[in-house]
Amino acid sequence: MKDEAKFAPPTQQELVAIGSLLEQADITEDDVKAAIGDWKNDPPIDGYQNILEAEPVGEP
Amino acid sequence: MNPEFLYDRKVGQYRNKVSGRFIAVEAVQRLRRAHIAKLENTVDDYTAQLLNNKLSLNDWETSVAATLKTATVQAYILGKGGEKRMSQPDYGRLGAHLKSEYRYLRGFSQAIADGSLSPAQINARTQLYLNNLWTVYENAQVFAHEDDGFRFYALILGAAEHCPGCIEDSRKGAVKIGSLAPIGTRDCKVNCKCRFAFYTDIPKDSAFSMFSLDRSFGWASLSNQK
Repeated sequence: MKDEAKFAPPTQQELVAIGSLLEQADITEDDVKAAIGDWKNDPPIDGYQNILEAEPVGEP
Repeated sequence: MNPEFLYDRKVGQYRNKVSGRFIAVEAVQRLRRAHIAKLENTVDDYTAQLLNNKLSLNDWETSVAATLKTATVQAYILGKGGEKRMSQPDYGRLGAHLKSEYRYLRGFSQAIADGSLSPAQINARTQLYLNNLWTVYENAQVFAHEDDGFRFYALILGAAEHCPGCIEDSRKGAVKIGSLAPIGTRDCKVNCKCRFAFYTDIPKDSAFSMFSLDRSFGWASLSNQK
């Protein structure tokens, strides 16, 4: 017997329109800044807070 | 004080700005694994709240989507060599990728709304979205190296069980960039833990990787096989 979720299944009407969700997928500079800020505040490993802000060097 | 970093485009690796030392590929791998593990905790928490009726499905979906967006951008920037290397095409690729992910997420939400998934199935399916961050980084690495004049790459098997497709592609040795299937599209899909190594020219030991590994699965030198 399947272990079904023990919560009242939400209605489909609860979900926002798919178009609205997809609009949120567009990436802006603000999204990039927010992602970097999130990483710096709580990096996966200490010592790598600044790695996403690396300065590119060595022209190919 | 936290170290500052450089991204050396000639080598395709991060460096410590003060010491000049290169950050080992393995260190970046550990960082990527820690990134995914950290997100697992976050998303597991959202799902636990959903299952305990403390979060609506709409709020769960919104929270997961926002977490995925932030994490995907982070994984891509790490793979591309830092935010200063991000360009408009990168934004476009990220947006297209996220739209695809969000469509799958909506299908996932619908399945939850239908009541057709068990808590274990919900958790397992959520994990797939996080596993996909591995492929986001690898694909960004391909774009970064192409921008920097690297023309060849080889598939390096990761520390995991391998699918036949990954084994087959890894045996091809160094080949032109674009001639192998992107990571995440072989049989193991988003569970892939392989990576690419990049070269500006065909490496001298390419014959080694193409022949000796095929024959022996080991580190025997070519001279031992004559």
